[in-house]
Amino acid sequence: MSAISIQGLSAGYGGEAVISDISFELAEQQLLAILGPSGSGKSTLLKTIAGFITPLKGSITLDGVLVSSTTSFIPPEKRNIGLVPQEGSLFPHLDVSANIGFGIKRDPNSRQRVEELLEIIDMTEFAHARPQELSGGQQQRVALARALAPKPKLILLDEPFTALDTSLRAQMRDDIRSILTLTSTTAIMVTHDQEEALATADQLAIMQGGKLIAFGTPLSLYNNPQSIAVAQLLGQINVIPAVVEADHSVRTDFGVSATQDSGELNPGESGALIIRPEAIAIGEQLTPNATIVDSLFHGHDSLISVRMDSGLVVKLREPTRIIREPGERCSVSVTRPGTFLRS
Amino acid sequence: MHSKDNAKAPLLLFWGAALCACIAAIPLVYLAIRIGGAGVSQIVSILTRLRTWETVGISVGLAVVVVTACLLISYPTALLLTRTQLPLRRFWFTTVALPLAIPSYVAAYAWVALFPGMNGFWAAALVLTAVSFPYVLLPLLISLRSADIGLEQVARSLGKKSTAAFFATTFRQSIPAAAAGSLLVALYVLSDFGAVALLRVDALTRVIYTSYRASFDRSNAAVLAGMLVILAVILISLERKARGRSLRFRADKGVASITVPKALTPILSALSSLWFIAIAVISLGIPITSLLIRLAEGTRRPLDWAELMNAVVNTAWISALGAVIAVLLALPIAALSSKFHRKSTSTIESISYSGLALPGIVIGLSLVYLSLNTVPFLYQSFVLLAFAYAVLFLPKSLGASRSSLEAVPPALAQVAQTLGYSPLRAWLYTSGRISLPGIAAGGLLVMLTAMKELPATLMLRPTGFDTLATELWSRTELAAFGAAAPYALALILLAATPSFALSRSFLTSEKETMVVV
Repeated sequence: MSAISIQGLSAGYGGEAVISDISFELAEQQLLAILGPSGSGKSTLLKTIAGFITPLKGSITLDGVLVSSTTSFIPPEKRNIGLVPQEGSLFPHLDVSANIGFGIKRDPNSRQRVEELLEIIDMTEFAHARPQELSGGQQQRVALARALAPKPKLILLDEPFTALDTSLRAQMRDDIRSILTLTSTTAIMVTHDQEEALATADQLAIMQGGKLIAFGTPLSLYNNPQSIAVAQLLGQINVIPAVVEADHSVRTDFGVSATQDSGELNPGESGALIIRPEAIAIGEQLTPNATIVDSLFHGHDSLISVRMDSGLVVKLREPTRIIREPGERCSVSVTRPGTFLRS
Repeated sequence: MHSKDNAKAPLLLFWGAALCACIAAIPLVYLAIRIGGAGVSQIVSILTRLRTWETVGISVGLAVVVVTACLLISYPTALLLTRTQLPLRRFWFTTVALPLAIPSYVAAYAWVALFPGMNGFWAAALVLTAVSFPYVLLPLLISLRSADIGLEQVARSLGKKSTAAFFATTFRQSIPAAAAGSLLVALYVLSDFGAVALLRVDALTRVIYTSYRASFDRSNAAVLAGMLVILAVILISLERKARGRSLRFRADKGVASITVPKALTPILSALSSLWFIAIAVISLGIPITSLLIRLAEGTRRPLDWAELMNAVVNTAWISALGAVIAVLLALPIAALSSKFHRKSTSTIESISYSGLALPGIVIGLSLVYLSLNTVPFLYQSFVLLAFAYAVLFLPKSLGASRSSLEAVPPALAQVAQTLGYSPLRAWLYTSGRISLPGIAAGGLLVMLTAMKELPATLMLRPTGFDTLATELWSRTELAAFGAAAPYALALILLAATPSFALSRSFLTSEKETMVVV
């Protein structure tokens, strides 16, 4: 049984739908990242799941129990869903222990549970610290522990890393990831940072304009996107005009290349091949077929623009060994199959 | 500061807040009903009386004179304080805010006690200016201090002389602040009862009171009260506009460069010091000296301590009751408007601000009529007096509660809800709990302000119930200046507390501050 199942969900404020026709299922102990630009409706989706917004259409089923539909509605306090908001979300008048214990006051074992969680988030020595005395990362860990305390069926994280310094983010991502694994918790995280989404999630949902435009594992969505919009949201791409040949292979300026789903292609069809910059390489020993336009040095790698002899400009990424000078001749080839999208 | 949910407010909260706003609007509504009950012909006859327009003219004229005087005092004072190396600058900075601590009728009493026989329009103008000029000066100080000197420097680099540069830039930036302050002063003067009554000026408030006391012509009092409300509403809406503009001006600005205070020549230094000494003597020195002389002189009878204590206790508990009612009325409205931003919510909020447009004398009058005509058992009861305080000072409590509630992130209550708390409990344990100090401070401010209230107390107090303000009033009326002195002193001490806090927050931060009117 899936931990959460959403069917045909539309919701919004004052009768106006902000998100519409959202459907997906998430298995237990999985972490789903919802990625989308601001205004795409991802926070609205999160609030609807939490129960702060009643749906206009569709349903939400949590662990086999229908919690939201147009006819039945379980209020937030009875859903057993944990919430970790963006920032400054700790109760400022309570210390760390009291914050974590806030939701389990009536539980006779609450003290034990708080200590257990303090250990999990590695903050035992801060038990009596005030939220104001903690760093941003520590605050978010306490907020997570507070949400985990009543052993919720699902944890919702609303852009949990936005308030943190870039240097802290990667560390926090790993911390939260491992805490969730350790506690076998199913979680949904909202983010607008594609790197964060790809690095943290088991499943990825991509939202745009209030609609769910893609759902799948980060790897499959990255390597085999279903639309240019999805491909672009997950990183830089080259869109290269292509035509399907009689043998179902795809012809581009790079010559003939295999694609990932070539079985479904009809000969003669035209469209575009989506190729990531890291799937294109400069090979030194072959006859040159391109000229370097410019080169952006990023430290660990460089992003290089080249103009193919046919006039097409493509971007490629290579580990930085030498700085490529504009005007330099080189030979460029595709090292990994791209994805063909019909136009 | 936190984004407001566009969501619908819970019905219970919405109707609770609407009910509280309606309760707060009772005095205003009843006044309208009372005026309407007078009949068209009587209203017309009152409105066509020359005497009516003379009264309005005196009130408006007094406001104009006092505002002009406040501006003439405040601009040079503010410039000397912000732009020059005036001797004892820090000392004067604090001193100029102190006159706020003297209630107008206490100041009037002090002047009359020192110069018996002093009365009339110009006497009232002098006294009211002396107690109210900080309302213009303080916002002006903030505005001049935060004004971007960079603009003035640009103007000078473009070839303007320093005074021309000042008038072209910084002076213009300060206009909204000065305008907002001036309108507050005008409102203060129009609403003032104590000073004009003690100095025998037939301004609206005094004529309303005497017509009411004369009791044969109560429609006259009601119609005049209506005119006073209209004038107050005009002033409040203008003040809102001016303040809005001043905030916008500040918001647009980047980082301001700071002025280096100019050194003064010895002669200018001496002249400026004289200016400040004169202000201090008129606004503080004379009232306090007069008070101390009267206090030392004593009365023919020794001071009746029991009577004084009785008045202190009465004043304290009735004001505390008023403050409790004000907080209870304010809470649902503040909870609603801090969280839900909709047209219906802001209507509720504006209705509850009606206390701003109702001078004490008008609330007193309206509640007297209301209780006599519809609920006679409440006439001259403690509850009604406390209710009058609550309506009068509701805006203070509302402002304090609202801003402290707004400072709490709404996510906290949501987190509490996901942790199993019902919406009401979640609110109580998070937003309610965290904003408690701010809400309590608002209540305390209401209490301290209500303690000095005079006209509504005079009209609504139960027979034989004396507060500090009414004791001072009745002694002064009998020209028993010595006997009045301890009461005046007690009132100044009471009033000093919130004014001190107010002036501190005015000077230490640039946040909008509620103003004691």
